[in-house]
Amino acid sequence: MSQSWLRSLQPDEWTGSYSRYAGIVAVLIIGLAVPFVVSESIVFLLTWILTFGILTLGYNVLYGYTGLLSFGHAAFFGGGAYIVALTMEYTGIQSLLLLLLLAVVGTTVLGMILGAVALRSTDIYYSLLTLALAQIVYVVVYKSYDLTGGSDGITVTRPTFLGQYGQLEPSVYLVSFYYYFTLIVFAAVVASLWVMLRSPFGLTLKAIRENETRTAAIGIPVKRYKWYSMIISAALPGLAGGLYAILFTYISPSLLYWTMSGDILFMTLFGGAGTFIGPVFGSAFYILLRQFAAEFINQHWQLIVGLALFVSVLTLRDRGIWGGLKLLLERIRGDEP
Amino acid sequence: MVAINQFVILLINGLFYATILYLVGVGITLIYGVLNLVNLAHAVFLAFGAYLSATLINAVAPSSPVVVFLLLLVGSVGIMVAIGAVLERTVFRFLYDIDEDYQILATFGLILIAADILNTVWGGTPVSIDQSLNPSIILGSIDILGNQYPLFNLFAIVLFGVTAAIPFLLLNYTRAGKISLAVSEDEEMAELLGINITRIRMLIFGLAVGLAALGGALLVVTSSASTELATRYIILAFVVVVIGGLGSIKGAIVAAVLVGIIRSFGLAYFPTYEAAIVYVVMAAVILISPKGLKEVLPG
Repeated sequence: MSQSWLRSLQPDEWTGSYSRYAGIVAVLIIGLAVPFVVSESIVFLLTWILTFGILTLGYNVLYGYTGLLSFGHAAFFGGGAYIVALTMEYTGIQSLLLLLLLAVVGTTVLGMILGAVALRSTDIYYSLLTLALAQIVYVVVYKSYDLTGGSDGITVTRPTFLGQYGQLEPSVYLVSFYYYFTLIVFAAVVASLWVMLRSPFGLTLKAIRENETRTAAIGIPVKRYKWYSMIISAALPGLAGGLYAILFTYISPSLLYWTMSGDILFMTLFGGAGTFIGPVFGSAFYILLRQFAAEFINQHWQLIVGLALFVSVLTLRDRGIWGGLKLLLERIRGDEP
Repeated sequence: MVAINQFVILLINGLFYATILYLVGVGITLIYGVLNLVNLAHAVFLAFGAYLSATLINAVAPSSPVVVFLLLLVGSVGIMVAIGAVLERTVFRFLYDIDEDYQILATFGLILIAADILNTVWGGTPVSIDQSLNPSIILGSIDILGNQYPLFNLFAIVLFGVTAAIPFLLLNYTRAGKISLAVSEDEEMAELLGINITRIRMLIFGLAVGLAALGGALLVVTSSASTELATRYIILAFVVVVIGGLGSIKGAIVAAVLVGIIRSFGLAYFPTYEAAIVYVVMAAVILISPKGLKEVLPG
């Protein structure tokens, strides 16, 4: 296990050098410096992108790496958001770390349960089952007005971190603390996923995606690994949901509706489900599109997203824009595609 | 227990829901069965049918009730059938050869595009047929065991019976129908035998779109057309199709009745969580018998 961990740190065939790691360090430095040079609204956007990045990277573990198309992930994302919001409202717990931990634990358990049920089916029936199960979660939350406020939603106040920051103004909270917190969480998630997906576990998931029968034939308990994949893929969106709730200070049941699952899927796929970091670009694309100042694009974001999805599925399949870019680069360099 | 007349009204209401669900669901199942396409977006045609019917009737504002009905049942449906055939050749044909997963994803993209079009053309406020022109008002109500019930709803249920029979008659007794069955069995072979696959595809797709549009037309008479109609019925229609079994028309009929009645009685007795019941049933069906009811139905 430790050997493959070390191996994952070595230069990989694609870049052929350590330049990739230099690039990552550069991005991190820029990331840390950003709040000092840009406006607060851009910091908000970046934090949002980081949050959705965690969401889609988590989803990609299940879809891109294991090959399971879940149409019910809104349940985990919305679930994490609601766990944070409801915990703050009913128990008065203010600690950011504790709240996020609860969100992760809660969605992990939810993932275990839904996973155990959903994995009894395969292919399109698996997708439809995840859709049905997530809709049940949606209806329960939506209709439990007394508990969750139903369609009114819940407002979320700023949690404290190690006892501090909670009393800050929202904008100061964001710029001087929350952005950095999210950035660090994002970096931690990326690093852990990178190692995990390069490890034998990650390779097993890929093997399942490529040829399930063969993988089973060599003795891998396929169903169990699928279940593990679902659990990881539930916990990360749960974390993202919690982060989202705090960032937006307001959540509503729409986070649990099946169209949210579709959005998650779009971001992951369009960014590049077959790649590691692609989904983050998909998230960025989606968010920037929705926030774009230009009237036309802002009003017709659905048209653009829909068209982008349709065209990219037909032409790039699961590679998305990031995968497509990589493919283009390979072709230019004359490598075998 | 429940008063008999209340029970009967709930039952009829359930059948009315079932009519709409069937009209959308049978289209999905036909497209899956014959064209091998998972069309997640199919219910948008219901929404278009609804909007188109209301707009058409309001715009033409005919004085004769007969013309109102013609516009509703033939006018808007006819337009949608034509649009459907065109869309099949221009958009949907590219989806036949790709994996089912990708079909789901691509058609999800189409849902977004359609939602945008609906929003742009008709805006955010719901559209309904003018009171003076509404077919339901025209037909009035009828007394059922002491309750006043809209005659139009009963008319719709009769249409359910008619449209339920149509696919059977078409598929089993017409030449085009039998060819469609052949295509759904073995497309390559059918093509080798000289059958014009393209024409069959346009036919089936147009039929499916027309039926969904009819569902929208019937629906807009009793309520109104809104953009969330599409997203709501997309998922309900899939519940019906899954329960009935992908590709089974009989299954779609039975499942539509089942879901319609569950909704009707559910709304009356378990209003809070009624919406969840259908999803539970859908999940149960997938877990117990994924191929749906078609496994247990005769024929």
